[in-house]
Amino acid sequence: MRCDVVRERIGEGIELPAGIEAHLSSCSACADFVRQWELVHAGLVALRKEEPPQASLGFAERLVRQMERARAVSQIGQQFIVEAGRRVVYATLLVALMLVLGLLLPSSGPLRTPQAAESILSQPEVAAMSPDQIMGISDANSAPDVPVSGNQQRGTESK
Amino acid sequence: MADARPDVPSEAEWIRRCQSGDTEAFAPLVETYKRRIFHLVFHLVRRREDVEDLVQEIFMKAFAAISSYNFQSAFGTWLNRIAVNHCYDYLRRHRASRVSYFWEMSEEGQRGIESTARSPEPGGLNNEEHLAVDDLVSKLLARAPAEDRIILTLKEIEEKSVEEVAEILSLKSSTVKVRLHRARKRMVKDLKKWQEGR
Repeated sequence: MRCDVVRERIGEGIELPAGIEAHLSSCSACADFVRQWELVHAGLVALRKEEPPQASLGFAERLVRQMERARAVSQIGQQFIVEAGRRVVYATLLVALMLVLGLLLPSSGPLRTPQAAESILSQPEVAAMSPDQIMGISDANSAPDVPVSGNQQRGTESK
Repeated sequence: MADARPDVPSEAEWIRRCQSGDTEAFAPLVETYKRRIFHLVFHLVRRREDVEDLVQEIFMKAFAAISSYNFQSAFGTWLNRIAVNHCYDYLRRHRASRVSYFWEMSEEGQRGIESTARSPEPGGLNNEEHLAVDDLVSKLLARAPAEDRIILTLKEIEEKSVEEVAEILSLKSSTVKVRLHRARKRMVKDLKKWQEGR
């Protein structure tokens, strides 16, 4: 019989078969292992006798109160998370709605789209104007009917 | 028996109430199992001052997880599993140094252990020598890896069968046997190392 098999069986605490007894009488290493294990085992058995501490008075009631407190705290935490989450969702929806409205609503500016620009440029009085006049940078002689800004007027008078 | 009376809820009924969020229903379960859990935790960690706090944490963990209890194993076994896992984490955090025990033992204890090295068997020891061996084994166990400590405590101190240990640790019986053998070998090796080191 192999030593490791013998040693495995020794710790099981059951009655040792004859084969193991024979092995122990011829193998000093295994016999030594048995002796050492018996010492350890005796020490472990002695530990069984040590009396554990008792639960303090009202242990179960105190525990239940503590659990209730812990549950209340966790409920408050959960409510906070739910509330905060709800606000984040509302804010996100609001921003998304504003973006969608911004993209979909028509602009009030006349030159917002190329079509709007075309329709303005095709009007006869606008078509007759030079690009400078359209942009408002014309001189007073060439286009007297076009209003001139105050600064431009002052500059002409000084000349 | 209390369980036989129709007006007193059975253990399963208390558990179901807890599962539906009734914290008060946990008190009778704590009353039933607290002694057993105190016993187990004390033998696993061997620190009197920490036992009550650990047991309290274990019961709180158990209540938090009670909805996962499916009545497949006994409630006591399920609770033991939580206790062992909690103590395992504790032991890993608080494991004592494996070398310091040589210097911690009293002179009396050292003399006792020296004589055990010469004694043929435990039966040949006197009272003082027995106490010294017990003290040394307790210290060796305190410095053993958490896995060894738990499996030896369950088998040798709590006197559970291999099958019960396997159920608590969620292992196969064959794995428990292998681990037990490894833990025993390590304890014997540590004892020999101590004896040779003297």
